[in-house]
Amino acid sequence: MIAAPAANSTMLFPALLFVVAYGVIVTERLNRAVVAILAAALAVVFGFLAQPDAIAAIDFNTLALLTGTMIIVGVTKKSGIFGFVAIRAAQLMRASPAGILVALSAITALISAFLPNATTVLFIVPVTLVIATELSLPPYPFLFAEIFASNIGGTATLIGDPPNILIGSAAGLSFDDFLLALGPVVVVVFVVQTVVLHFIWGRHLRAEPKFRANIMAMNATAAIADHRLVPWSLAVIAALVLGLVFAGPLRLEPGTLALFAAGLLLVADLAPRAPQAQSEAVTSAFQEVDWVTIFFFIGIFVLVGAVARTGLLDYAGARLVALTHGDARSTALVLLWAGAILSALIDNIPFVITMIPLVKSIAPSLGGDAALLPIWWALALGACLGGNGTLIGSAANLAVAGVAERSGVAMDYWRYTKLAFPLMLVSIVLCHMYVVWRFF
Amino acid sequence: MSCESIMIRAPKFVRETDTIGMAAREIVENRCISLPVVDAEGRFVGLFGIFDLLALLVPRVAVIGNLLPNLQFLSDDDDQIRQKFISLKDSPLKRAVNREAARVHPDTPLIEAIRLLCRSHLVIPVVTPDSEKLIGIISYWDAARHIMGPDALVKS
Repeated sequence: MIAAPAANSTMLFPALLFVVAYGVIVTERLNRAVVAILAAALAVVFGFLAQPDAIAAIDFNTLALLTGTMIIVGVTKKSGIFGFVAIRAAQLMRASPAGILVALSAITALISAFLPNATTVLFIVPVTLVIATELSLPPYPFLFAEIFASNIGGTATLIGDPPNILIGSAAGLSFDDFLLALGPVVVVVFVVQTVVLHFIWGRHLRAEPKFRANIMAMNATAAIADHRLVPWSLAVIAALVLGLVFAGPLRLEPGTLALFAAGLLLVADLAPRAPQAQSEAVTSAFQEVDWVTIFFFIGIFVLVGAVARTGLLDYAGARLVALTHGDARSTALVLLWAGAILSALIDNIPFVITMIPLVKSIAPSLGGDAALLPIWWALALGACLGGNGTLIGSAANLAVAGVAERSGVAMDYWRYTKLAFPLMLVSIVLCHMYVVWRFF
Repeated sequence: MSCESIMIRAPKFVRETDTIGMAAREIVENRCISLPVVDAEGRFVGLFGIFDLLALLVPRVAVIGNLLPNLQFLSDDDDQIRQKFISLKDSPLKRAVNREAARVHPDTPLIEAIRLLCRSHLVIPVVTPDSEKLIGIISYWDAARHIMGPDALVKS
């Protein structure tokens, strides 16, 4: 075990800036991206971090992966493929509300595993709202189930949820590493949550035959707005997933592959257009990127870089090791539970960005980088699934709540939390058992 | 030139306590793009127009942002859409008012009103600066007629 670094006065001001910034982010009085870049700028202005170190603290691989996949989703959505899939799924369930609840959850989980979940839900939710309206049913149960499904599905892969992108990039973990390590427990958690939601809502949802007939009469093919774009979108997404699986042998970073795939899809989208229309299409595709999240990441990377430079995170890591007596299993479980609770209460992105240098700092105490693997998996499970606990827990939750409220469907914070938090704890209990069984 | 010089004084309006059905009748009978909505004290609260009326008949998610590429997959026929209107017509107008509608003051320069007309494609209400009381409206037809002048409208 290494000696714990001592806390010292140089840690005070960066730590204070960090705590104040997080405090303001949690209160949501100011946009989180604005708080993050302001705090990052202050860290450089006050000399907590030199300019080159601030740039070096930014994980451009993560930013490229996020930006690339958001562009892919933005172009793909124009095809209308998500609407087609959702309507066909509802019809396959013979428009039974309980069946639709399960089917839309399964589709959301599956797509969220292969595309960023926060943007994926933006395409499933509108069709869900139309289906619920046509069935004359409250949309809330469907939206709730989709939030859960998006966070659960996103947990399974490298690209599904921002915490995994961050962890994968920092720890050099591949797409298949995530799928093999987390895929099995994700399936179990999804099945359990779906059964629970069926008993809470699904079995009580009833729609009159005339409303169910509306769903069966829908022309799913008409939901496809651009038939030419469908095969291109599906091919590019498949190629990206394949590329991510073979990223190691290809010696390419996931961010490079995502931007490459986004570029290819943009070429396919732009090719038949006139030059002026091309400019408009590119502008529209770039507008699909969630720049608030991207700048939030940039700010938090720099802020955490400033705190890490003082040795505060090494100190916190050493305290964690002392608390768990250097036992990897206890450390993993502490991070799983702390990750889940904190990710529910604050956004899971800043939590994971902060935890990454801390986890790296404890590697020597646990026996090297290889011993960190279970810790990374526990952190990913806690951060991704913990995001389900409250409406502000993850970007996907906020995205669903935003669309719902603009569409006249109230998503009350406490109403959501009362059911979501206990359900989230159930998923963490399952993950606890899985982590112990699978990795120790 | 200010908005006061071209506004239509004492315009038609509806009250926010009216029903959607009453407002819809006013709009359709008078072929209005939009009508100002006022509260009990005559203060301007927003606009309700033909597009707001039609938007009530389709799922709301389909008319916000760019979230659904189309609604062609829906099987709703004329009768279903009419039934939707019937179910809504007795609802209070309050819930359907466009409260984000732009407004100007009597001394606002005309060029600003023209800019707002180009952006909103709706009438621009003119309100008093202090109490927001509705005192007139500027429609794009009136603005264009005023700018062209009476001579330009006489056929040669």
